[in-house]
Amino acid sequence: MMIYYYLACFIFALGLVGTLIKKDLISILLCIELMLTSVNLFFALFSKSLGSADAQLQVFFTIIIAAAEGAIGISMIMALFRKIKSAYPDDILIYSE
Amino acid sequence: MLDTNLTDVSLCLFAAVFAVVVVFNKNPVVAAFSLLLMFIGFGGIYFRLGSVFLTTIQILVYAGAIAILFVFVLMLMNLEETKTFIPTKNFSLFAGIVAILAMFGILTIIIFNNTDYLATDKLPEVSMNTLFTKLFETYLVPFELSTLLLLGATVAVVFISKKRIPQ
Amino acid sequence: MLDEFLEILIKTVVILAIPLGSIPLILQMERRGAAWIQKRVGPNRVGPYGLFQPLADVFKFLFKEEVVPSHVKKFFYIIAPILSLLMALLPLAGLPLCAPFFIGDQKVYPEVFRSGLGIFYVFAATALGPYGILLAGWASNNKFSMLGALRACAQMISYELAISTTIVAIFFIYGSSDLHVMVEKQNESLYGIIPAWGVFLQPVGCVLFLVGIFAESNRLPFDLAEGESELVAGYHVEYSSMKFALFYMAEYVHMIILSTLFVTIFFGGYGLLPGMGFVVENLPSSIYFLQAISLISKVAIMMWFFVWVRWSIPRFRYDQLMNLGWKTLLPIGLVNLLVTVIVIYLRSN
Repeated sequence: MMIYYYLACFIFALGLVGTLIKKDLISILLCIELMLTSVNLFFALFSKSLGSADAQLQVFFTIIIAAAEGAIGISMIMALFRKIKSAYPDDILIYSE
Repeated sequence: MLDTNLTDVSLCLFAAVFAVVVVFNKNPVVAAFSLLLMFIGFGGIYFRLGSVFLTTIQILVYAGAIAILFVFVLMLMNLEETKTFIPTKNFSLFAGIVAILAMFGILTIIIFNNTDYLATDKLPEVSMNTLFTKLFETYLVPFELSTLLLLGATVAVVFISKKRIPQ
Repeated sequence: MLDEFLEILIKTVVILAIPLGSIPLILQMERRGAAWIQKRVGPNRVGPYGLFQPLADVFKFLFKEEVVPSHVKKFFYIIAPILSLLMALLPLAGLPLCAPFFIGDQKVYPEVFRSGLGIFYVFAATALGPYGILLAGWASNNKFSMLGALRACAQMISYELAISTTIVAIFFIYGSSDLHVMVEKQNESLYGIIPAWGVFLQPVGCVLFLVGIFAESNRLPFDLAEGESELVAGYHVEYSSMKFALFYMAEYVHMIILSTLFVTIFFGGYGLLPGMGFVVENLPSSIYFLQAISLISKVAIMMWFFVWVRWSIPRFRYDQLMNLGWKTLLPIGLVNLLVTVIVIYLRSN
């Protein structure tokens, strides 16, 4: 079971660094999803190791929040894309002046 | 701790490889598809951990809805490949890998310094019955609030993506 | 270990052979049925009554030249039809063909993948259906393909919601997600005369599910994804020969799986057809075989229903389709769910 802890740590690190180095908004959202998923895996592992149901329900709530976040984030990116024809945060800085 | 066998190792490798593809890849559509495959791998991991409930919502919500949303929007926008990924210079690629390894090290040290809390032998499985009793008794208020959150999100998405007619 | 492996292997072969082997027959039935409805003759040249026509089609597909257009994204272009068929075949692992039986002392379940998920496994696996189509549309690098794929995907997601409300209502009624339990409960009878099929317990849900099946499998009243007059052929414009055949097979497998699920939930599943009880009394060992025959004949009737609807109802417009899904079916499904829950609550008190 220990290997899953390593996996969760690794994916969280990947997601965090990916959020920093990716350039377009959608890829940043993808990396945020990576982090959320790895945290879910942590909760599932804790639920297994502690034999409790609370951690699994925490995953349930996290997934609900991830769904809401994904939907709103994507619709905002689409609205932005329609306005400035671009999905790169760097371009938004140019247009804000 | 329970034993680790070949199934665990291959599931971990599957998920880890596709997670790497999500980050170190030039094409966002490929990234979204590998995210989907990673989600499916996570469904398998939850099944290995004995949680049927989590497997179901992982596949239904993450793989069946969220990942589809990403793929769909990426295909609509048709982003240019070269612009989406920084590490064209070797230095930034190197920096990214170092950052990932450092973060990974910190997290594993934190986790493994606190292994006393983790059980050392097999515990009884959490049954669906106790799970849902707990959901609808202890967590009733958060559950209702989360439905409100989803409703709010739906309304917000409709409002944001509506075409406004100029007056 | 070896026994387990052998068991899974045999189950997989049987569960794959039945739908894939029956696709040519369904195809022939569809062509002759279409001809019959339109007062034409239909394909009747190859073999007696044109029965060898599907065989000729298979040979034609196999011997056609494999064309890969130069502007496609090659890797994804080749992998898309395979993925499409694979995703379509996944739910089969959770569908029971007959009741669990005994070999020696060991209880053997007919499903390949037996888990606590039951109906939710089948539903979750069908939710992965749009990916193959999306990938095909994107990899073809063609505007018609792209539009067709996006249409198909949006339509599948929208109608999944209506179907899911029905599945939750059904889950409440039978109190279990296990398909075997559902079929057992449907084998009892209501008021002594009519069988306790899901269609009598949940008539609104049955209609919603039926409409949902047509939209999910992109069949004619809802086949906007490949509307010939607008999009040439939708997501498979660029595909030819065997790759096209794989998409075709995926569509039919999708129809078969959703019909099997529909029949299992609403029409007694593998419960015996009337008249078969007599045979079972005289020959008790034949029951599992007869159950499989019952299920297959019920699904065959559904397949005919698909053909019948195809040549009776014209294609919807795209906004009509979306309005039907979101503004009519989803509210009806939610109200239906609410009423079901209230009735169950009142009856339990």
